[in-house]
Amino acid sequence: MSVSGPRYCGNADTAGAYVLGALPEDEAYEFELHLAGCARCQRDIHHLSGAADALASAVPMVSAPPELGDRVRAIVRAEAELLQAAGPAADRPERKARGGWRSLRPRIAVGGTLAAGLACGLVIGAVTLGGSSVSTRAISAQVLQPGVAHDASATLSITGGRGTLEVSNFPSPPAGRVYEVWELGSGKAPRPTNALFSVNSRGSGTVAVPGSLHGVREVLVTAEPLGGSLVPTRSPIIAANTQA
Amino acid sequence: MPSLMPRLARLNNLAEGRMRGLADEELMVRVARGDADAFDLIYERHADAAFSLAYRISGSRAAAEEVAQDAFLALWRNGARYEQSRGSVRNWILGIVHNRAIDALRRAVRHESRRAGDEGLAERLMAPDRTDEEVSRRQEAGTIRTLLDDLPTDQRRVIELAYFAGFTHTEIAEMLEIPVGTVKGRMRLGLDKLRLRMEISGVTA
Repeated sequence: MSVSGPRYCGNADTAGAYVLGALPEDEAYEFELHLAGCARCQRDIHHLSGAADALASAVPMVSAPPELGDRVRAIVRAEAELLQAAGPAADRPERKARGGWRSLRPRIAVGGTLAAGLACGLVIGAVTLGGSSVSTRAISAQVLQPGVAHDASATLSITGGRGTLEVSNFPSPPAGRVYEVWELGSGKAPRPTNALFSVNSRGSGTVAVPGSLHGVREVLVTAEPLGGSLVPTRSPIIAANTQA
Repeated sequence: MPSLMPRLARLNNLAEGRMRGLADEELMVRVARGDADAFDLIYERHADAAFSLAYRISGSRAAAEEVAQDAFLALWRNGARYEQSRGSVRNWILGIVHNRAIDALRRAVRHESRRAGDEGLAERLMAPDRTDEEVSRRQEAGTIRTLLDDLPTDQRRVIELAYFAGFTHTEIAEMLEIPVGTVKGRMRLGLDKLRLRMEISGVTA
């Protein structure tokens, strides 16, 4: 496409709204089509982006909580180990790109039996990371619900006896329901927790499993009425074996 | 024969020291190859800024943590998508944080209540300056805040409603009972002035 360079463009004011992210999706798309052929607007965007970027860095600075760093680093370390285990041919663990995790699974699977055709994920391994101050195991959980996207996955990261569950490519809970985390100890009945969560528009979600996982055999997730339940009303959609 | 462990420790320290000397852009090349140590440094350098922006937009510590975690994991998993020609790593990260925080805000649809609860967190958790670069950044941030505050109120208002609260121009027009064209015009004028005043003050984003 040839690029024109008028001295004035009727979309000049739209450029400001665009760099602020204030255009609805359809208008943003239309503007991007226009932008591809308008040198004037391209210059404007470049110029105005500097001001928009400045807004981001001008907010009052607060410290990121240390536990956030611990969680993020633990997940990254675990994924880096899995990548290394998968070898140089492995894709990055971007789950939507060219198979992502799916391409890793056959190479690093250590076991796990699909549950009567229902499971679409499987235990793919537990990685122990020996860091100077933190030891983390990343356990890929079973996704047990028919109808869930085939590339849905759930990972339980255990650091210092505490767990964080992260789901990807997951559907939102059914209307009027929320995902609830349960712990299965030595008994047969799962214990409810106050960990309730949902997923974002990209199907991602993260929840901390409350308390210590000492004595917990499995971490389960069910879709429960808003506010949670004391007894599961539905079958588990996720099961993570902490002893895997 | 001298023990191997001290030598290995020295080599590790040397490697870490070299890594610390790398620019963000060089670290991102390593992140794209799956280097967790390089990611650690990127996180260390930008976590406070990312969390601060997420907190400014979401208004709650829990939501800000979720957004920042989501953004850094996206960076780790999509590091190869970073293009140096399109700006600094810091602005790229803050762009991811901004998009995700606004997405979360729009999904939550609770503009009225989201500021409740964590009010005052900024003062309690004010990040200490650890390096000269952080001191310099904080000074620049203060200057930019002043420049923003000095904009005409009607222009600053539409900019803040869009950027920090996630409203579209049509929503702002309805809220302020003014035409959409006026909203867009004020955004444009305000950004132009901010950019010009930044140049005069010698600050960059």
